[in-house]
Amino acid sequence: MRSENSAIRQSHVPAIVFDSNQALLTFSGRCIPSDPEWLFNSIESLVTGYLIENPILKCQFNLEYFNSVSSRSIVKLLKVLETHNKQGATVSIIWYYEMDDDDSLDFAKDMKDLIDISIELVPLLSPLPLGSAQATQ
Amino acid sequence: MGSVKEISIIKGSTRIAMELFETRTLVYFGGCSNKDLHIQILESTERQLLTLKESKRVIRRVINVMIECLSNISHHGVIPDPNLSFFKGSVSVSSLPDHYVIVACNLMSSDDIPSLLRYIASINAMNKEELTCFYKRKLGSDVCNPGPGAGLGLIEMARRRSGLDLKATENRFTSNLSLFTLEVSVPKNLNT
Repeated sequence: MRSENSAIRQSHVPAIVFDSNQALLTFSGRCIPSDPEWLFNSIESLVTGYLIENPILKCQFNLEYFNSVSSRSIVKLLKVLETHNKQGATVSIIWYYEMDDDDSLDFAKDMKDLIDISIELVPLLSPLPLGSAQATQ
Repeated sequence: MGSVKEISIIKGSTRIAMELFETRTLVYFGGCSNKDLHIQILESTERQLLTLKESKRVIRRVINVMIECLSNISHHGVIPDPNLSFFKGSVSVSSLPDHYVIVACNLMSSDDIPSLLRYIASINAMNKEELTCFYKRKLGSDVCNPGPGAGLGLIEMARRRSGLDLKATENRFTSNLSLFTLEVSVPKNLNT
């Protein structure tokens, strides 16, 4: 996890930035680990600890690619956030997707059906060019 | 002059190269991969498709299918004897006139294949709405009962097939192992 914005486009795990001052948790980049549980379990612990003391959290996802096991972990994390919401916290989700990324949009719509939490879908008008892995290092 | 074994390897490699050429293969990987190799394979595919001036929508679709294929090989591929070979599976992308074909092969227990083939046939039979319902149901249940199963990934690939069925075949390798091959097509003209 990083304390400032960064993009690890070469990696198989997303850049995860938690800014407690802005109550903002962001995921960006690729999320294609074979076993994402270890990553998302640590995030679950982090947000659970944070929400005990703080009532508001905004979660932003800007994922270029994610595999099916990661989609399962994302839904599991949002289920945890949903529980906190029901217990009085105010958690909101923003899901960014590139205009031509139907798969990401479909997944976000599926999540809206599965999870009782506010998920704002935001299209990205100026996406990063594909194949720019070297340029963003 | 090489030994019979060496000549056989040369012939085998030549045959593979010729077949890759004939099948218009853009990318081929065979062996035992890891997460770093996965990234390199995906980026290599992305670069090849960019060179062909393919649309981003199609590139995403191909890469998403490859991600699931590589994941399946990692999770389910079997190495029968590490003393003889590290070959766990292969994945390739070929460019046909109307669509890209992603083919993934891995060895797995022959006993597991009939149920897998039935599963693939069942999701091929579903229409888009049925697949979406099934996917959401599976996603919800997998959150409660996580495991490395390929079920969710296969449904995702089926949702992205854009009218083209997943094709799966079995070739017996040993008395208890089979080579499982999955073929996924991505149309070049995606109008979703």
